[in-house]
Amino acid sequence: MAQLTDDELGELLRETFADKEALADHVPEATKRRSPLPALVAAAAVLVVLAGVLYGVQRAGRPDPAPPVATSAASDAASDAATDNGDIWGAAIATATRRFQPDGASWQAVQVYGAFAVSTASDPPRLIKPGLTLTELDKQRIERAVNPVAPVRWSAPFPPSTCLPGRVPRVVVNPVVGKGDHREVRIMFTLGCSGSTHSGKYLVEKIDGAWKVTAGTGDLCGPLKSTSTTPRAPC
Amino acid sequence: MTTSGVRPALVYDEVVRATERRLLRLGLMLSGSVHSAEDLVQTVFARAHRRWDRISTLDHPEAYLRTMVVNEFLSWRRLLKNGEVPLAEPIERPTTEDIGNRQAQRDAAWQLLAGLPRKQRAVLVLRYYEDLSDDEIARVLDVSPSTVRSNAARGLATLRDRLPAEEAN
Repeated sequence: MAQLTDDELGELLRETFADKEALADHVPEATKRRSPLPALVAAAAVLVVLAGVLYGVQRAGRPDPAPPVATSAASDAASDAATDNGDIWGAAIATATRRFQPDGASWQAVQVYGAFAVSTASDPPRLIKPGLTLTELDKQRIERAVNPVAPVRWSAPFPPSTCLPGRVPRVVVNPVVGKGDHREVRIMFTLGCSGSTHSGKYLVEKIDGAWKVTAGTGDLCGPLKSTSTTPRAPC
Repeated sequence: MTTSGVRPALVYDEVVRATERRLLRLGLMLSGSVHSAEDLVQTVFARAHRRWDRISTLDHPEAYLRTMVVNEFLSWRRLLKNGEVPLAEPIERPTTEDIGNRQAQRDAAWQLLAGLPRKQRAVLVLRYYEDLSDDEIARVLDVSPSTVRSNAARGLATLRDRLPAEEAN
């Protein structure tokens, strides 16, 4: 068996790290900690905020605006995310599908999956990473973006029991990650049942009201088989 | 008149909320353990809060926090209560489906990363997870780009020697 090249090792590491991201996503938020130190830090921050509030009360003129209410902001954000995620995945899948389309040929279809669940080999199995379930709204948004490139085939969670014959690549999408003014999404694009795999992150931004891929890592946007040291290339 | 006593605390909280998840993921890739990642990030946030007046003036405080996480990992001498060094949590082979050789390779790679010297692992994480260039990695680690490349080469060589290659179809 031939040993892996540096590029192949790089791709393997990217896939490995992408696999493990979900483990960190199940860590509780910072409010639950074992050490008392962050609680002391938080208490100090509260005291500083209270001092500021008391100072503001003394000011003449208009009252300070009410601080943002976490619940309404959170529910608005959740609602936006629910409708945006499908568009973001659609933009990413469409970009990758165009990117790796063979010269002079078109894809017959593209299989799309949410990232699959991983369990231990124990009995009963223990869930290591939950799968990503795409809702009907997600699927509609994805189809709207991808169908102009290739029709979408929805299949059971990865891996498929059989690979579809012909020119039908497979795309696995991971959860969308919010990064302030943009989003990132990891995808894995595989050609055929045993073909090459291209994986990495797309950076997606909202431009003129539509989500668009603006950059990607590895060879998702840059030259094919780009080296691991290549910084994010524009798409 | 600015309420300088209020503004830095609010900004700290915002940056923590915005960066915590990403830093936890980075800590996981560096340490191989969810619990160790929690400890790393918790330590960094506490230290950052003490220096927040200075950190908040930086153009990219989130990048500085990332550097702090990496440096904390590299300088880590903390042992578990029973004296063991934190290792990557063992990942058993998945059994839900016949994942095949690729999943086995990923599992093996994850385990092998835990055995690399910390600096080699940090370089590979910054290159293949954070997608930094060698020059950027050099700035994070405060070493030369050639040192980054040599650490990456040694780390990759170890993985290459010990990983099973995919079987030909």
